[in-house]
This record gives sequence, structure tokens and C-alpha cells, in this order.
Amino acid sequence: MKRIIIISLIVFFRVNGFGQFLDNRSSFYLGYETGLNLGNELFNNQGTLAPSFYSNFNSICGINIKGILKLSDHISTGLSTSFLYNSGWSSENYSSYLNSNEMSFSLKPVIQYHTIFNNGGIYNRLKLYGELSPIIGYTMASLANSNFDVISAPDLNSQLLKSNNIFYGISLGGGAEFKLSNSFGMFANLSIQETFVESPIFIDNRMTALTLSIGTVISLSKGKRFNY
Amino acid sequence: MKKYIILAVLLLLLSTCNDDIYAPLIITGAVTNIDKDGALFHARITELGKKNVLEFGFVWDTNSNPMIDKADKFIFPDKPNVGSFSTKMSANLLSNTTYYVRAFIRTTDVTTYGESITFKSLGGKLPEISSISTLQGNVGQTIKLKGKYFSSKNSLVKFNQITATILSANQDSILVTIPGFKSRSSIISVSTPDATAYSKDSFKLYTAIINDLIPKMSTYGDEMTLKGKNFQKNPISLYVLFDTQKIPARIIDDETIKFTVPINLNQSSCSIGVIMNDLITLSTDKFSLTPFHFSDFNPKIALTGSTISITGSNFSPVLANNKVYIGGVLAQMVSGTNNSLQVEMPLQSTAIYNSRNAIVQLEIGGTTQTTTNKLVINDQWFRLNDAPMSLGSLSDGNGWLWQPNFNYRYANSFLVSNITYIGLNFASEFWAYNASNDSWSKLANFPGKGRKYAAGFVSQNKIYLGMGQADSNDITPTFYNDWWVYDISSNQWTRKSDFPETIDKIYRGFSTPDGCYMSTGFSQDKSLNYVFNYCQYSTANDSWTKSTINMGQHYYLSTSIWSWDVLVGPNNEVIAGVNSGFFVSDMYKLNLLTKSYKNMAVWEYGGDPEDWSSKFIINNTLYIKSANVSKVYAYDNSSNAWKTDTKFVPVDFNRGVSFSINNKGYAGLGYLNMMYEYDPNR
Amino acid sequence: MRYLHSILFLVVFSSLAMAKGKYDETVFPTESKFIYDACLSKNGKVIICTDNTGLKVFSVENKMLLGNFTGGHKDKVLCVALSPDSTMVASGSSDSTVVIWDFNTHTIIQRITFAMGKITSIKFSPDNRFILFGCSNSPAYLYNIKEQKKINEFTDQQLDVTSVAFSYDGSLIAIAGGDKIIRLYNTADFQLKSVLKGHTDWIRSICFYNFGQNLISCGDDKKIIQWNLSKLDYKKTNTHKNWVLCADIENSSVNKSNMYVFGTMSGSIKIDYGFGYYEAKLYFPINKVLILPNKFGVIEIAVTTLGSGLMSISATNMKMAI
Repeated sequence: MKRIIIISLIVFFRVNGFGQFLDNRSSFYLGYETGLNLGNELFNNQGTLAPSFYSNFNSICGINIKGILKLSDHISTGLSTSFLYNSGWSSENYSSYLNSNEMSFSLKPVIQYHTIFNNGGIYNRLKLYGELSPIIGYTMASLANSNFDVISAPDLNSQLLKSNNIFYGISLGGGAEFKLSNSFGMFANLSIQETFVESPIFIDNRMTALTLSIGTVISLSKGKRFNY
Repeated sequence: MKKYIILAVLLLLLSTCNDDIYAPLIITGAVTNIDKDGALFHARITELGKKNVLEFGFVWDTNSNPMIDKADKFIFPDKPNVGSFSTKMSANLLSNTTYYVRAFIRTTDVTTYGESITFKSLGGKLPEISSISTLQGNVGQTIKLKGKYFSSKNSLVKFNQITATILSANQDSILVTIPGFKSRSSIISVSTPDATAYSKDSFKLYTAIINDLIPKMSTYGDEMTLKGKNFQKNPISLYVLFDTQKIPARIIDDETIKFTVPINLNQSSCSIGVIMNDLITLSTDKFSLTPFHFSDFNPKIALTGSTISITGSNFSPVLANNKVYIGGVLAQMVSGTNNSLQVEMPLQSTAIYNSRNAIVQLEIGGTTQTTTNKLVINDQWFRLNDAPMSLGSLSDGNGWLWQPNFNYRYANSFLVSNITYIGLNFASEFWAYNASNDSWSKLANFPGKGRKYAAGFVSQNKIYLGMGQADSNDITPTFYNDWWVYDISSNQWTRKSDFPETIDKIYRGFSTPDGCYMSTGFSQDKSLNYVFNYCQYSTANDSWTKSTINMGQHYYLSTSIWSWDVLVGPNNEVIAGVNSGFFVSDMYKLNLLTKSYKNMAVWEYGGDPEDWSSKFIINNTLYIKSANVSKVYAYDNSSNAWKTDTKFVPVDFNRGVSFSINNKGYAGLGYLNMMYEYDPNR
Repeated sequence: MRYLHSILFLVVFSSLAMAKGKYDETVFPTESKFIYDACLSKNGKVIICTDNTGLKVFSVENKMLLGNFTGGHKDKVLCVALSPDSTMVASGSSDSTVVIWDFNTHTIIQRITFAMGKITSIKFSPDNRFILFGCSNSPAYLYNIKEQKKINEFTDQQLDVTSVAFSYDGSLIAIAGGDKIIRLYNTADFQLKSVLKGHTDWIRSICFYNFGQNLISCGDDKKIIQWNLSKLDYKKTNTHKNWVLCADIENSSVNKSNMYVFGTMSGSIKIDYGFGYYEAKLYFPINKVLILPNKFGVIEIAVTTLGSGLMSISATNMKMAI
């Protein structure tokens, strides 16, 4: 571990980078995404407090795929998609959603503000950026047991174990990209997203998540104006 | 760019393919603001379902998974919408108690409960009654109590101390049926398990008021009127009361009711009232039936079992309410109208008339009338009061339990100065019977052992009794030879010398003006002559002298002579009879002084002389009634013939006692303790 | 885990390797290693190159700094041209200005500020009277130096102008750029004489040769096209490399094919001298190649790179191939 760090640092400081041409026109990001759900054990929806479905998931994992197109020196735009899986529901005082899980698919059109690759120094290879995007997605909740007791239509109880809904919101994030070569690099992205969802089977109408995405960047095309 | 649009469209389509949820859904929220006044319940409706929502709210209980029909319930008055609802619950929450609460929502076809939430209550508010829908009403009516903090499950409503049926209850109103609380007004209370609230106002039942009764005297079936108030308030429950009998009333208006005197009214006078809502109001006036009149009866002389006709007026239309007593015995109603009754005099086997000259009484509605005439009961046999001896089993001191019908079969009777002294065989009881007033008095017990076939006689106003046979199943029975004398004036028994000879037969005693005798009846001597054996007792010497009368030889001579009897006839002659089995009985008149005999005509029945249960000397005529045969035989001395009289004869006297006083015969005991008087002249 | 170590080592090694190149000794002592353009004096002894916001003049022979032009631009200089009479130097910059310098005094003669985009290429007319410059926002301008005014604005280009050239006699102007088309104009009436279509991607550099009879162009389609202007036909050569950013060609001597050299985005340099090739691989984009003249028997080129500075490379140091 130490060796890796030392070598990485050497690489960082020793190399005169590729400069402008490294900041390519379009890039493709593929990363592993994880995170944590923020929020309290109980969700307050217009005064009604009930165990939160989303906040109490302990494990988020998934993949994140993003395509970015550079518009100008500092602005890029693109589309990011995430496939996330929430599991490990646990709560100190409640067992409402134990063994439940949730899968989601989301689309985020992204506006990115980033630094320019410099001629030398850290920023020759390192790009820092901030991102803002609206999110629209589809969440599929799968409950282990129904928290409702439907009398005189008991077959409906099984129907209530699933709920698929559209969610939408906004995401704010930032990250860093480190180019290892002309066409290949690594990235790390931290974002916080706040989305709204409505489902009849749980109380939550919002989800707040902090996600970390780590992966590789593949540069696809070079900017024509790379040399001016 | 195109690709993204297609993707977005697909997403939108996917969202509409969500499972169609048919059930309404409600999420139970955590209970907040728990304090001594209650707790705040929260819920959120997330889906209204396909059908109309009928109600939504909370159910809570100390048992998990509370259900609508079993737990306390609260229903929101709001219109159901998707959204959050909350209510402060104060009703029926006990402090320091753990409750389970869940929200529910109900449509016509489905009921959904949210998750069950547990909380520990710190208390709740006590119930309060704010209003009652009406303060005056009738039993069975429904009233609504309004207030706060009622329990929908555990409320108990009482009117005074009577529990009312709750039709439905929720937090702030309870619908109850008014119970019959048997009081004009009541305080209504609503109780939950830990508190009771009382109404400020009293609840009153409608009661009737009676002002007048018209008319005050009337007869069966006549129409009457009551004037008063409130008759129309609860017509279903309105009845007129004749004493305690309810009869339906016809309500004319709120102040007038009409009714008819019930045909079966059995009181000449009674209170009139009205019952409404289980409350009775009595009229100050009493109602009187038009009195009946008992004019006469016919015939004036009758036999028991015959029909007597009663005439008069205003008899009860219900025959059973007309009670005719003849000699204290209730006659059986045969038929009747309102002015004549036909009754049948019960047979003496079932009834005891108190006198041959019986008073006839008619009792209707508690009032009795009688006529000056008396009914003469003309049966030859007239039943007297039963002898007081019990019919139960008695032990004779030997350890045997006698069967009841043997108690009186072997009783002896002795007549002294018109008082009959009767001794029982197996119990050692000794009684005096006074026929003139049909009374019994108990005397000193016979000191000897209980026995049968004791024998004795009267001499100089003393009664001599003893000997006899112990009852047992032995082939050779035990005979007693103790001899006693009873002093009437001192009511004392004194033992005399035992009978000197060994006794192996039954003795019978009798006394004539010539002396006192005991006899063993007939036997055969060595020459096969028929012999009548007897011995005479000397009261002065307390000794016995044996004698016999030779009867000669007879065709019926047989060693097995087992039944015979002896009596003293009307002219003090000694009459003996014998039955030697299948042959006809022989009867003889015996002269003990001359030791001679004369043949006597036998009576028709060739029965067992031992069965001569009743013998009477009436008007110098000998009468014999045999047990088991309903005939009395009278002997005509001049013609030496027997006449048969078959007028009703009670057949119960199997042995027992018989005696005659003042030209009447008396017989009784035997199988039962009945006593009869026999008057052959009727 | 073991493989990770090896990969990292390789990465580091290659990075270091990239950092220190084979041709390091041939680098001119510029301040920046990102040289966008250079031009030679007529005799080939002096080379002027862009260096950050200024220009530097070096002796080709000994790489000594001969002059420094500073204070003219606020942003990096993207193109430079020397007047045929060697009296003026023109520089175009990212700051959208053109500065005309006095070559000898290193002072600013004129500043042209009307342009909107970045000045991507600049040339003096053969008669020293005009400068022709192209902009990244697509127009190209012909400017009268003495009269200090814009003579004509060429607006046919749809995309950035990447390269401009005057023919030898100054009768033709060639303008090429991102719209893949080379347009030839008469300088007399500024009418479009001909349109050369052949490239399928951005054209990076054009150059007249054979005294105006031919034109060589190269571009992002990786091709070099040698145009025959009288016949209006061309010869296309696929370099099979990366984007060809620059090319230079010698005027042909009698019966000798034109030697040309091109440089690519990935740092490949190839000299095609008719009978074979010389190849070199630098690892930085080659923005400009210039065939150094008067090098008898030895082919020598000057190369501006983005990342390795200005170099002069002798073909002897290059790999040979047929």
C-alpha cells in the first residue's frame, strides 16, 4: 500500500503532462458507485412519523456510467446514469422493512464546471470539477413483508410487497479526474442527491443520498481546438 | 439525442405500468405527545383504493393486532384524502399501560390496517357526558348520549344501576336502548374501566296517571274506562292491571283507555292499575265485582259421587273459579252457567267429609256464601277422619321392619263406656277413640313386645290384653304368654300372671255378662269329635279355667282348620264360625254355661271367617262386612237368615278394628288408617 | 495485487520516459515547452518561434537566443510570420490581436484588434504590403499594413481557419480550416477562384509549392494531399498515423519529386524523400515542421512540439525506412 502511494506521488509530481490535448472533447466514465442514505430513522411526512424506507438502508452499491462532452474550456455537459441497489435495511427500533431492498435506475443530464489541464504541475494531469444535474429515475422497492394487513382481500397483501415509482430531484457533486495517459484515466466523484418520490407503501416522499463513484475514464475524441 | 428521448419515453411508460393497487392503504405513524391527557395518533393515507372509502381511523387495544370489531375505535370525521391525519386520543387510555394502535381504512369491499405501533400510555381523559338526546322516553327506545372520551369498546352505560344495551359507541357518542330501570327517573352513567361520568340531568320514563275509574263495580266482560294522562306515550307497553293480572287496554286517547273486566277474574275486589314502561300506577279506587248470590242447592240428601246442583246468580264464567265445598270437601265441577253449577261429590275413597250434615259453601273470588240448609250425606258408610297412626314402617323391637299394611291388620279394639280402646299389634301403641267427636288420644304404650293376634277382653271397665304371636317367617312361630291389664282411669298397664299353659295357637278373647273368655277355636279330640276350646279368666284370682264344648262329628272334619272367629252377638250369645279350607263356613251359637251349641245359618260368602273384618251390633242386629268383598251381611235372628246389602262398601278393611256405639258401626284400620261409620238404616 | 505493482511500475516508467526524450539535446532554450508556431528566415539561419505570450528568435546553428519579443500579447501566441524582407514580424495570439513588430528593434509597430476569435495562422504577402490572418471563429482577413486597415474579410469558411497561405506571386490566397475545404481566392478581386475538396476532416496546414502550381495540405483525416492546381487534381497519401497537423514540402528540383515532411498529433514525424522515409517518434503533438534549407546532403528539420519545445532534428538521428 505504501509503495503504491509513493509511486503515485512520484508520477504526480515528475511528469510534465500532455497538457491541453489531454482534455478531450468527449469522455466516457465507468465507475463503481456506493454511498450512504441520509436521513433519520423515522420519516416525517406532514406530521406523520413512520420508519423511513430509504434512510435506513445501510448499503448502496451500483454502477455509474457517464458520458461527457466538452463545450468550452471550463464547461462540459453530458449524461450520467446510475444503477443502484439498496440493501441492508436496519433500524434501532423498528423492523418494518427488514430484508427489503430497492433498485433504482436514474438519468442525470449533467452540467460540469471544471479546471483546465495545465502545462505542468498537479493540474497537468488532475482535473477538478463541480457538477449540477437534475435527476429523473425509476425506483423499484421490494419488501420482504407487507406492513399492511388487508382484510377480505388477502391476495392484495402480496401485491403490496412491490412498489415501482418515478423519482426526480437534483444532484450536486464534485470530483477529480486523473489522466494516466492520453486516453485513460481514473476518476472519483462525490455527489449529494435529493430526490422526491411518492409511493403508497411507505411514508418517505424524499430520498437524500451521498454517493461516491470511483472508476475509469476513457477519452473518446479529441478536441479539434486542442492546440489553441 | 434521439436515443435519450426514446429512453425518457420508455421510462414514462414504465411508470404507468405500476401495479394497480385495489386496496386503500394507510400508514400508521409513530405515537407522539404522550402525556397524562392522552396521546397523539398519526396516520397517513397513501392510497384511496378503487371503491368509496367508508371510514378511516384508529383502533387500539392492550392486545396486539387490534381489530375494528373488538378494540377501541376512533373514526375521523374528515373526508378521506391522500395525506396525513392526526388526532389527540384521550379516551380509555390507562396510565402505565402498553397499547397497540394501528390505523385502518375501510371501503365497501376491503379493510386495510397499517402497521401495529406500540406505546406506553401515561393516562387519558375521563369520560364526560355533555348531552342526552331526550330526557323523557319509553323503555326500549333508543337515545344518544353525547360527550367526550367514551370508549367505543369498553363503555358501560347504566340507568341507575341497570345496564343498558349499547347499540353503537364511539369516542363522543353512544347509542343505547333504554332499559326497564323500574323507577320513574334515573341518572345515566357512562363508565370506562377506570372512571365513571354521570349525567347532570335525570332521565325520566313516561308513566301513566290515573284520575278516575268508571264504573267501580262491574261484572265479568263488562267494559270499563280509566281516565288519566299519558296513555299514548308508550302504547305497546300499556296494560291494565287487575291486581297483578295484565290485560290489554284499548287506548282511546291520551287521557282515556277502555278495557273489559276479565272473565277469569278471581277476586271479588281488587286494585286497578296501569303498567307502562314497567312502572305501575294504581288507581285510588278499588274495583269490585258485582257480588254473586248463592241461592240454593239440590238435592238435599245425596250419596257421595252424585251430582249436586247449585243455583244462584253472577257466578264466574270460568267454572274453575267457582268453588263448591260440601262438608269441607271441594266438589268437582261438572258444568255450569253464570247462575247454576253442577258439581260432583267426590267419593270417600278420596275425600273426608267433615260431617254427614254437610254445609254447602260457594266461594267465588275469595268470597264465600252458604245457605242455611245442610246437605245430608246418605252413604251407609261415612268416612271419618283418618286414625292418627302413621303408615310408615315400624320396628317391633325385635329388629323386624313391619310392612305398613300389616300395622293395623291385627289391631284389637275394646269398647268401654262408648270409648273404644285400640291397640296395635306391632308398634305397642295404645289409643282411645271417641266416636262422638271423632277424636283420638294416645294412651300409655302397651309395655309388651310388638305382636300379632294379641287377644283380650273388657271386664269391669278394665282391659285385659296379651298373648299373641311374634311375626316371623319361622315355620314354628313364637307365641307370647304375657298377660296385662290396663286401668283406664290411671292410664297404666299392670302385668298379670302369664298364661299358664304353653301357647301354640292363636287365642281370641271375648267377654259376656257371664265372664271373660279366651278361645283357641276348634280342634279334634281323640274320638275325632269336633271340640270348641276355651278358658275362662278370673279377674279376682288372675287365673284360668279350661273348658271345651263337644261339637260332635262333622263332614268337614279336617286337621287343617286354620280360620275361625268368635264374637258376642246382640243378645250376648257367643257366635263362632269356622272355615276348614274349601268347605263352606259353619257358624254356631254357643252356650258356654250349658256347653251346648246351635247351628247358625252361614252367610252367603263362603269366605274365611278370619276375614270377618267388621262386625257390628246395630239395633240388635248383627252385621258383618267381610274384607275384600263389598257386601255387608245382616243376620235376622228370628228367621236365622242372612241378608245382603251391597250399597257402597269400602273394601279396605282387611282385618283391622270394628265396634258399634249407639246404633252405629265403626270400622277402620286394616291396610290403611281409614275409619268409617256404618249406618245400615240409610 | 502483484500485477498492480507491475502495472504501476510500467506506468511510472513510461511517464518518466516520456518526460525525458531521446531528442532532448536538440531542444531550443525556450521558456515554454509548448511551442505553437515557428518560422524561418529566408536563409534558414534564424528561427522565430512563439513562446508563451511572446516570441523568441534563435540561431538555428547554435540555438543561441537572438531576440525576444514581449509585451505584445496578453495570451499565448499561436502563430508567427516573418516578412519576406525580414523587416517585420507578425504574431497572432489567443487574445484575438495581431501585433506587427519591427524585427530589428523588437518594438511594436501595429496592433490589430478588430478580430473576434483566436488568431490561428498568419502570413505576410510576398510584396510585404499585406498580412493575411485566419481566426478560430471562421473569418480570415487581409490587412494592409501601411494603410492600417482591413482590406477584405473572407467569410466563406464555416468553421475555424487553421491555415492561410499566399501563392509565390501573391496572386492567390489559400484559406483552409475546419470545414474541410481549401478555398483559393484571387487577390485582385477577392473572388473565389477554386474550391479544393478532398479532405474528410479538419485541414490543419496548407502550403503552396512548385511556385504556385501545387498545394500541399494535411489534416485530421490523416491524409496528405498534393494538389495540382492547373489540372485540378490531386494525389492523396494516407499516412496511417494520427491527425497530421503540419506538413512542409520542398520545391522540386528538376526531375526530382518533392520531398515533404509531416508531423502528427501523436508525435510522429515522417520525411518522405522519394526513395524512402525517415521516421521519428516524439511523444508530443507536432504543431509545425519546417524543412531547414541549405543543408546539403543532410536533411534537417525544425519541429515545434506541444510539450517538448522547439527542436531541430537531423534525419541522421531518425529511423530509416523504405
